[in-house]
Amino acid sequence: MDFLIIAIWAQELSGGLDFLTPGVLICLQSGQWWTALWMGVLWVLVQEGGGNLVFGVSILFYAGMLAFFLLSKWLLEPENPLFILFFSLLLACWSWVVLSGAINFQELPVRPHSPWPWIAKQWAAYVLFWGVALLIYRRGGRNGRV
Amino acid sequence: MSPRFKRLVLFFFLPLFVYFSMYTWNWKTGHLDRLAALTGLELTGWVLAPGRWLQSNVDEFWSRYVYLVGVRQENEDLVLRVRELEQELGRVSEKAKSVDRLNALLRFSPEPPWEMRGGRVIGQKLGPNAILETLLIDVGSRHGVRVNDPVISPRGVVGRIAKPGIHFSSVVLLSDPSSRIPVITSEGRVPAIVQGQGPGAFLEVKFIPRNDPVSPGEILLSSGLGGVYPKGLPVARVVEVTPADVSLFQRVYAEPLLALRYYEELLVLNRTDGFDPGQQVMGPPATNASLPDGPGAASDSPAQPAEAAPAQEPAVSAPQAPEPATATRHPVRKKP
Repeated sequence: MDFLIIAIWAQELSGGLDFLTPGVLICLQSGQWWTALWMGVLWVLVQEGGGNLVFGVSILFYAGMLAFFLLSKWLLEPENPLFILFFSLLLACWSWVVLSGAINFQELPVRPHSPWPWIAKQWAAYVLFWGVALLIYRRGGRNGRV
Repeated sequence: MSPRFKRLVLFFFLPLFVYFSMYTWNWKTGHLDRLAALTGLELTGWVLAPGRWLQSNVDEFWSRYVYLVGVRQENEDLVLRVRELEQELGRVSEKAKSVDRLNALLRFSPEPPWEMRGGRVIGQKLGPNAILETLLIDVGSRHGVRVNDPVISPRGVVGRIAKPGIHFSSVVLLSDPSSRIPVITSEGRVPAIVQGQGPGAFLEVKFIPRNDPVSPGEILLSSGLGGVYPKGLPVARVVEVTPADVSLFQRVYAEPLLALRYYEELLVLNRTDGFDPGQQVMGPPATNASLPDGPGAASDSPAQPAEAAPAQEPAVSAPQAPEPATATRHPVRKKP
């Protein structure tokens, strides 16, 4: 709950960056699949409810995230700090691809974000907030090792 | 069927099929969008509302009880302004009475009834999916707000309701590229369409014929066509007029009468006669961009035929000398 409130305020104050995803990432890293599932469903509703795109963009994003996570887990060790750096970059790129695709697919007369500045900001947001989420997770009394 | 092929079908093609089925079904019906508005938008609103309430109370306390520099001077200025306005009101009220008498004599159709409701702005960009220029306000369907209800401020038009939740609603601003408002110029009564071009950019005023009179500084008023906005609301001020070289239309740019992002309280108008203001903004079937261009198609709502409406009761009078928006603006022109 603390994480949700902080993340929503961070999204509002950052002007539209995604701060909810690191919560799901922590759950995936610690192997809490059911928590990741309900959290993912809740996050989808929050992102879609606050957004202007037709429902389904967030589902595609989280499905892609899960696929990338399984693939990355196969190639790299999720407990390695470098993992989060590379995986966050991958997620930021994937987020841009999904959003730009949705804008084009839905033929909205909106210019998509410039790719590299937006990806850089989103990457920084993911890494930073992953640290905050980990802190909240550990203070919450969970003993899962990430 | 090999186990590998079965796995491929189970983990890739089946989810893909389910996803596209769900997407198409929702595209047609909008059920999942409504579900997201009733859950996600509400949740976001309830998270943001207490913080905004606290912020506004602290601001109010500071400005009312602590920061009182210049209040006396401002008070004297306001007293003078009130006297001027009282004189003007006396002059105008006689004219207004004669207009009512003439309307009755000429048997004009009665004005549609509009209701006004105040709302606080509690959020702006609510996440990565909020790609339109939107605000979140704390009134929703529980307060009678519906899709496409006009949202105004005392200075003029702000936008319209894009997605109503139960207690909170998303407002798409007039600076958004999907927003198109039929207007008329205040002096020459020339019809046109105002289209947003994104944050910080001038609004584009389309379809003003090359010989029609329009000049910088002129106020653009909502024309009332389509029935979404009442007639006579100030929308924007013309800032640049370029005569056309080859085109049949002049290139005209305008700026909103207010800095759209800096408003804390707004007013939502809704018609009490059951008029349906149209479809949702999201997606191609609902976006105003999908409407045909041109003054002949000057309608915010594809659901109702364009119909000129007489001046409405809550219409905000055109300001004498409205202050320009504070945000830095630059024209975005399309290449020929």
